[in-house]
Amino acid sequence: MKLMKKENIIRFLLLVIAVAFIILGIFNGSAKAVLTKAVIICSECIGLG
Amino acid sequence: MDKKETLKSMRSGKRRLIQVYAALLYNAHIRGFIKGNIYTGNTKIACVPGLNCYSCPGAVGACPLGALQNALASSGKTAGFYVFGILILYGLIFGRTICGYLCPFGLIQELLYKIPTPKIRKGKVTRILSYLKYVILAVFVFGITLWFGLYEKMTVPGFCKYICPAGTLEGAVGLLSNPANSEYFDLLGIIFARKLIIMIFLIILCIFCFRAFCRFLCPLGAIYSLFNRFNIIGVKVDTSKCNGCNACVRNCGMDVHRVGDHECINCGKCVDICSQKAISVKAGSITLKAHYDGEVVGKKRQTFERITQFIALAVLIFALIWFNFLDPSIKKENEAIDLNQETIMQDSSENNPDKAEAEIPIGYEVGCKVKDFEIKCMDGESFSVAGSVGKPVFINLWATYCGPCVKELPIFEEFYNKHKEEIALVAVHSSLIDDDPIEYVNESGLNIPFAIDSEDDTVWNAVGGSSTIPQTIVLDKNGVVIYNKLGSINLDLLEALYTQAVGE
Repeated sequence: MKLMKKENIIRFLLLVIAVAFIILGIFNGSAKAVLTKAVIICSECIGLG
Repeated sequence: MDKKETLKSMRSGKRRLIQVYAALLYNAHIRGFIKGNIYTGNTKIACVPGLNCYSCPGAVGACPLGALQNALASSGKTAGFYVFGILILYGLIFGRTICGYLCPFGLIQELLYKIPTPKIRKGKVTRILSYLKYVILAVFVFGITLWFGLYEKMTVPGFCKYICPAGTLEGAVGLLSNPANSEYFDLLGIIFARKLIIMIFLIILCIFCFRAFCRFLCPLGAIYSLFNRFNIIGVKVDTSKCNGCNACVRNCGMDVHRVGDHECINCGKCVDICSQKAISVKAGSITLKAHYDGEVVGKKRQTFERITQFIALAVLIFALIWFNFLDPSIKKENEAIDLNQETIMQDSSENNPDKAEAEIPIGYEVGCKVKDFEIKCMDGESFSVAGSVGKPVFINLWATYCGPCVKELPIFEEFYNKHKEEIALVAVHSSLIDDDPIEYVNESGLNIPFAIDSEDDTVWNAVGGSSTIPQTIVLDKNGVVIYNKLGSINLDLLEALYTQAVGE
């Protein structure tokens, strides 16, 4: 029971961190960077070289 | 097969259906396979959970592993919070259930394993090898990428560039197999050769060894395995019912020590193997799959499953229609093609007083005349094709986040310094910006003309810019294209092109 409670606390913390990081990422431009680098692709980065 | 066995096998068929569904949804841009181009729409801001290369012509989302490496490469300038957040969220919700249900490359490996051959059984050696993926994660995903990003100021996604078989199969082979991309063959060298050998080796290995890539090499599986203890959806064991017979571990294809540990892909095969009914697949407290002993599924459950299946099918059909016909990026692509064709038709009309000029079509292929464009360079000067008539023109398409692009800029500078008075040259950065190109150019000290393409991709459209860079376009003194190719360039080739352009 104690172990389950500890695991649930960790899950909750991970959820908060994940959501916080995603929101931070949208504001600091790292979300847009994902789009940019998935649309204009460096040829060597996909093994064409 | 009796009815009980039939119903049992239908349960395992459901997992296969989910795997195929995920693979189709991740790659809903079917027209990419037909046209030989990649999807460039906004949904690529979202990372799909499984390993699916974003250079696959069908991919409508970003690869989480590729996105992670790109984020690490830029970590000197921007912290990649978004990708870290996405990975933590996926890990928390699914853990390695993603490997078992939502990874197209996992599906491919399982299908290969179905080929009837002698099989390599798991044992002490495979158990030790299963830790190799953590080494791959540390060295290729983090080590190489961070080294080049922080010290060499170059984007080198170590795993994508040197190993990833999913990228080779879905991306490189996916693009190369289309006749419209025959020019890509000119790009192929040692990097591709190595990756191709790795891919072929792994495909053969997966025929004999269950999920060899997942078990021994996949860094994404290594990341998700860190969450396997906390994931909300996955296999759970009721320890009060477990008698420790280990039938679940013996019958599992992965190198698990116990069900639900870091090697478990939560496929749920052990659910029906457990004689004590101690294992189930759960989403929190909701049981998704329990031990089957012939009981009839309740009506409420049946209705719920039917509604879920209907919604899933509707989502897939909508995705297929959207990503192939309705997405704004598809319309933009079609408009660019129509505009180019319209320009060709207008110029070859009989109204053109200079008939000899009119015989040269407007376009971006070799032998065509590039449609005129004007762009403001970073030093304040303007660059236009019309304004450069009488001189050979060299146009390089690049981006700060492209390692080979950045590597060849000094070559262009050396070439430009030698022929400054005789040529027109401009290095045009993609309109899609990550790190500030102006800051990059100032820090680099390079003195060639730089520009950033406009938001509507004026230069990219005029010169037939691809989604793959670097790309170099060379025009002769009359503005006719003599070279338009993807891939890195060297000084000897630039000199040869100069000679050809001047000689025209």
